[in-house]
Amino acid sequence: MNFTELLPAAPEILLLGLICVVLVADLFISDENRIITFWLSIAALFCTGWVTIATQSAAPFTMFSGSYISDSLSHVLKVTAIGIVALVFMYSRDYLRQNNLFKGEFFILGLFGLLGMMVMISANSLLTMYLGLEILSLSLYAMVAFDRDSAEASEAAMKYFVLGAIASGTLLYGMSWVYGLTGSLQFHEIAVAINDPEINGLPLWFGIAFMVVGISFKFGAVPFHMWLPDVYQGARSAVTLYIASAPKLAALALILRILVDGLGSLHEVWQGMILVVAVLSIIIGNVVAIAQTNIKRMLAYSTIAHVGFILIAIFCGTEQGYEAALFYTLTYVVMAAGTFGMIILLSRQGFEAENLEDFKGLSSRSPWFALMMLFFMFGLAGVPPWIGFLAKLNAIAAVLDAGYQALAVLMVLASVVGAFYYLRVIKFVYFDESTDKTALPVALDTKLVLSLNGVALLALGLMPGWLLALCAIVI
Amino acid sequence: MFQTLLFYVFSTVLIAAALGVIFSRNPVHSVMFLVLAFFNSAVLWLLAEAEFLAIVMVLVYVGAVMVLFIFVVMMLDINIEEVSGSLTRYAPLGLIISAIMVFELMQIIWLRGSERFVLEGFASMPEGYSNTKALGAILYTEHVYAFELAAVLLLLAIVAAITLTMRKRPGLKVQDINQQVSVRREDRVRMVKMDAEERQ
Amino acid sequence: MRSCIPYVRLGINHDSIGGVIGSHSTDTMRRDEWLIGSQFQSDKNKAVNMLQNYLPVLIFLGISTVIGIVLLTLGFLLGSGGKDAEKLSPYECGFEAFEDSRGRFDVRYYLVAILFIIFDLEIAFLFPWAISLDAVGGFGLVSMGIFLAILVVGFIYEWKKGALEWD
Repeated sequence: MNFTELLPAAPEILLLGLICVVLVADLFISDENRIITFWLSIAALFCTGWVTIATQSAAPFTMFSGSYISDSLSHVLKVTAIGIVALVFMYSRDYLRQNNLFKGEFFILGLFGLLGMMVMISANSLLTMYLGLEILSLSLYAMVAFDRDSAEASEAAMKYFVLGAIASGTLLYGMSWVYGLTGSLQFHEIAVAINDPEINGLPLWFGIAFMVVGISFKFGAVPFHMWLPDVYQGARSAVTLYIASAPKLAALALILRILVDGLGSLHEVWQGMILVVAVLSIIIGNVVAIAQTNIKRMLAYSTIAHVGFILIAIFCGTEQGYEAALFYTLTYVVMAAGTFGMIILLSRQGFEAENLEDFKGLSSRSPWFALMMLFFMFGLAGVPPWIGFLAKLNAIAAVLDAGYQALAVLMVLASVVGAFYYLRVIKFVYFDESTDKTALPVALDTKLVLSLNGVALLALGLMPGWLLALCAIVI
Repeated sequence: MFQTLLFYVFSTVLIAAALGVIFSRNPVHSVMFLVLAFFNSAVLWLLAEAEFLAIVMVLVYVGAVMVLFIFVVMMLDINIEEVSGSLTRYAPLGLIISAIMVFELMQIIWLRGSERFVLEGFASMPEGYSNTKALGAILYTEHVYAFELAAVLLLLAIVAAITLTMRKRPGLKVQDINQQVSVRREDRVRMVKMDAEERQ
Repeated sequence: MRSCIPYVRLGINHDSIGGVIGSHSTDTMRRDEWLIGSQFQSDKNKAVNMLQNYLPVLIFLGISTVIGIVLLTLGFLLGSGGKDAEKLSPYECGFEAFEDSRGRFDVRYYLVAILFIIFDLEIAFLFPWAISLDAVGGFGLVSMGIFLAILVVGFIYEWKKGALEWD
């Protein structure tokens, strides 16, 4: 066969090759020079990102007997995922060094997780989707348990692993029903097969229900959210940063590929299930977040609320809704990366800045990063002109256009409730006295990247045109 | 006829073994019953002419996964009384889940009964048909992407397992073959010149 | 939506693969028939079932079960009984047992067992490949080469990490 045929899959193939290189190179690097592994990983991300951009083509293209798809959606999600993982690595570097966790495996597992996300993003069959999900999940389980001496991390990893394995099993069970009834693994063939009224019956709906449960779990939507706060809180901040950001892109690909590409014409069947999950998520996420004193836990519930917004946008079943979901996810991961980056910035050796009190008086310690925290909180709360506002607005507009006024009112109310706990953080940062006067012990390049991340939220909010246009092209 | 008889014999043993897994007081016995259950399900696969699945069942589940189970059971200091106590505590939940599963499996039977997806027993394959060969013919070509991803998953499993469970302990007594081979006479034998001592 | 997608398949000739399935050599079949005996040979009209290859295994299973049961039963019936504390105690080369026989295993076995499972699964992938090598051709050879290469990286990793070392 001709090797140029493999070109559309070049990002994954290259990333796998580079992971192997980093893995073997790390074996020969002594602990003092571990920073080389870090820079090798960054270089691997850079190369993969460059190849992803270089090999993109306008027309969708499938490979490997239709189990792999390369289209504009996959390009946008992949480039974003690569960029976010690079951000995560940058933010984590000093934190890991200070906490004696600076090992090559963190970066290698992170790269493996990215590979899993990329496989999911480009999956065009149930089998590939599941394998990608397993690669991602296995990396995440191992990363949560990465700090073996921390009892909380081990407990979180155990909960995550057991619940995650059950969710994977549920998803696989649903997939096997759909495969058994439609006789195909590939999404475009499933989409054709389900038009047959003989197949479109209760057994197929069973399969869909199981898949929706699995997807909701991976997203962390209520009532399958119980792992999320514990894992966010228990894992070390660097790992929480990883889990909270990039995998959401893969989760979006999971839902868009399976429910929209594959089962799009059965929209009425899965719509109701998604609605219940989404509405519960925005209500419980926003209300429970208010009661939290641990900022990681608070952000976990805020994640649940944001996931609710993404799912509601998908629930609409319109092109506008899918666009809104994509826009929301893309902007959310940037905001989440920055917010958890701030938590890492404030942490240092033997000290985790994970309580809301730890943010007291940040404005006197570092006025600039207090401003950045304000940017992130305003972004997450959806205050104009930060980008988070536009994301929420898009989702609400999509819901209104699809004709669900009551739902739109609920979303607005939830946003208002959500604004409360984000603004409370701002209050701590600006209007409370600091008990801790230590300077922020972080390298210059990390500070620079974090500042860029914060400014990007405002810049995107002021000039959102190109991103909106991109989302419109992709969907 | 003969096959049907075999099916019922092995199914009976399978169910008995599964019950043994649950009701054994000793966890090691439970694992042994599980081995028996896996063996019987392998035979059932065989009766369905799924040779490869049967082989993998024995090779992977009985050969490797159960070994891991036994290690784990023996690593834990399980109090036998405690284990048996939890059975009744979780029984209601288990019963609910089994009820749901029974309901679902009834759906399949209903499907077959409705003449839409009727299969007459296990489809008998033509002479010389090899399930393993048919699988191989598409696994390495049509599903090559999934196949390589499986390799990635296994590689990741190696990395994750070593990261999480391996601890470097000091004072490992490891052979250094290179050092052993390159040893010279001078390193081992020391000629000592000393004066003769008086007979005692 | 993304509806009109030109689906391109990777260059594999499906006909050549499909043709090979079912051309299992009949020589082995005849040998098995000879092993099984005349009972099945008489029924020529019926297609030879794959399961007949496994009849010797079934017979073996039956005989071993019977022997196992008979020996245990004989021991139970003919044994003189008489259980005392000495007889029921664990036998350890003539001296008192050092510790409980249900002692706990070292956690290091666990890592060995996990690594074993991973390579055991790799072997499971090799079986169908070995059988269908003529059907999958050069493409299958290359794909298995890549598969093994990826796992060799894992092997290098565990070796260099010292996961295979035991003190």
